[in-house]
Amino acid sequence: MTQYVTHGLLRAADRGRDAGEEGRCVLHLDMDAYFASVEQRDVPLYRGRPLVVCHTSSDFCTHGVVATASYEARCWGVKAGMSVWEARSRCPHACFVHADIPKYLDNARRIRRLCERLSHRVEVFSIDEVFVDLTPLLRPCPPGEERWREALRVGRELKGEIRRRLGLTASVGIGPNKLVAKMASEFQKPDGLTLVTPEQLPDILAPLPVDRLVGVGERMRRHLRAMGVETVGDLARTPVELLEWKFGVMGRLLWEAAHGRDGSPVRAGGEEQEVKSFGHSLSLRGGTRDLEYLENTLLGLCDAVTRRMRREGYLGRTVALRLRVGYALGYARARSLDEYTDLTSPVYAAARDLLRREASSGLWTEPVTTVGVSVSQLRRREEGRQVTIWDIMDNREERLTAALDALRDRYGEGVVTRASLLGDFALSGMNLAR
Amino acid sequence: MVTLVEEPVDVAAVFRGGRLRPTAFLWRGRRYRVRRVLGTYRDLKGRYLELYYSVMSDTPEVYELRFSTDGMRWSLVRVHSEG
Repeated sequence: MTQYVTHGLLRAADRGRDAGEEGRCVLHLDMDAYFASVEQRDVPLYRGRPLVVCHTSSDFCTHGVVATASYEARCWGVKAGMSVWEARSRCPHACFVHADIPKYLDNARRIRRLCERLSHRVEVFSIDEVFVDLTPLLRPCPPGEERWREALRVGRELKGEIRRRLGLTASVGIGPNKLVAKMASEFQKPDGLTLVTPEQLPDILAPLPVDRLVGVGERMRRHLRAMGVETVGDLARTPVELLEWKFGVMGRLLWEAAHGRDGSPVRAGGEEQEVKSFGHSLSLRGGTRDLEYLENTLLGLCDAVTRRMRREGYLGRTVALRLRVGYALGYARARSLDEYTDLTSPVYAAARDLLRREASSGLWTEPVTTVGVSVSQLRRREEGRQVTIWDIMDNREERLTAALDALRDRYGEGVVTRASLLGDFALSGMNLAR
Repeated sequence: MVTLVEEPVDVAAVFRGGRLRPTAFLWRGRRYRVRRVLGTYRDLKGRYLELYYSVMSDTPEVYELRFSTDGMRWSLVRVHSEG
């Protein structure tokens, strides 16, 4: 049964505090335990049982990372981001399955289409989260109680459609902006429907722990705690000048968020969104200290990263190597290239150098269990890159890369691969360059 | 338990309302009637479309079938079973 909480629905006056947000109404849709819910829908054997969906290259999910845990598995302390090894120790009787990303993507497309029936301003925030700007839809309703009531009706109807057509449940939050809507959807899960009006913001936000704010992670929480800021109310009472001095632009954004203010628009599909980096990582069964194996794996990851960059039309300049040693020590090292690129060779050369340096650093007291690479400091390809004399003299890699991309576009990602990658990596079952 | 199969199978299917639905399949000499289609999704492999179906027959196992326009072929991808 749908549970919902209305805050201030019956109050007479209800106007946004800030002129820029007046009358805005944003809906945040968050699918409940999405990957696990899809699997439980498709396989009745998994319903009502602990189910763990894993990102893994092993055939039997013996290692890797938990992508999602069903609510039944969460009761045992299993959660996303946890190692499969730890999840198995917490819940050995759970069912462990591979994440099937194409399946979740296709279902996400259907969910997005249902949202687009409500408004043309639909922003896909992640594979299981969508923002919908309901403001145009609700404009005929007078601001205030009636508009919020209609927004609730729309949210309820959307949840119903998703349940009927896809057999899945979602939690919906509604508020005057994206920040509040997203926080609202977290108040009641699963299958929740929560409205937070502008009048309710101070009462609702103030007692929340500061890390409930979007954008406040563990590191930021520690910094704020050192300043005596424990709750969102503490943050709101902190002078904005102090926050700006301490955290720069982020400080003002935090202060605005503590007051429930967020002027960011719901970006409709096709609008430019800022991409900050492209990356891939892989968990390694049992871990390894074999440098040749790690370099091979790194080569495949660099191939996948640059393939996605070329498909999206980006060049990048900073290469970061990410490693996990054992199960506790995770860290990264980065290097900037001389030129922007979208080719594998320069990215791999930089990443491999970083890897070799780390291999001789003495930090690897245990085997390496995860290796990853990312490219940041991006620019759009149409902005161009500086062509050097070497590009003109020898553009074989560019021509070969273009030919390989054309083959993969036509026949699929697995149609051609490097000979050095035939083996564990190619058999991992992970189609990285989706 | 998930068993990866990846074997070609013969499938009887019906086109109805613009959709393709399997109704039965033959695997390792045994005929399985499709009692329920639990979920479907599609994926693109290059220029080829793949349609996936999670189906139940007369037993609790769930069979994942795939139809690929690359050769117009059906395959049994995997089987979910107890144990």
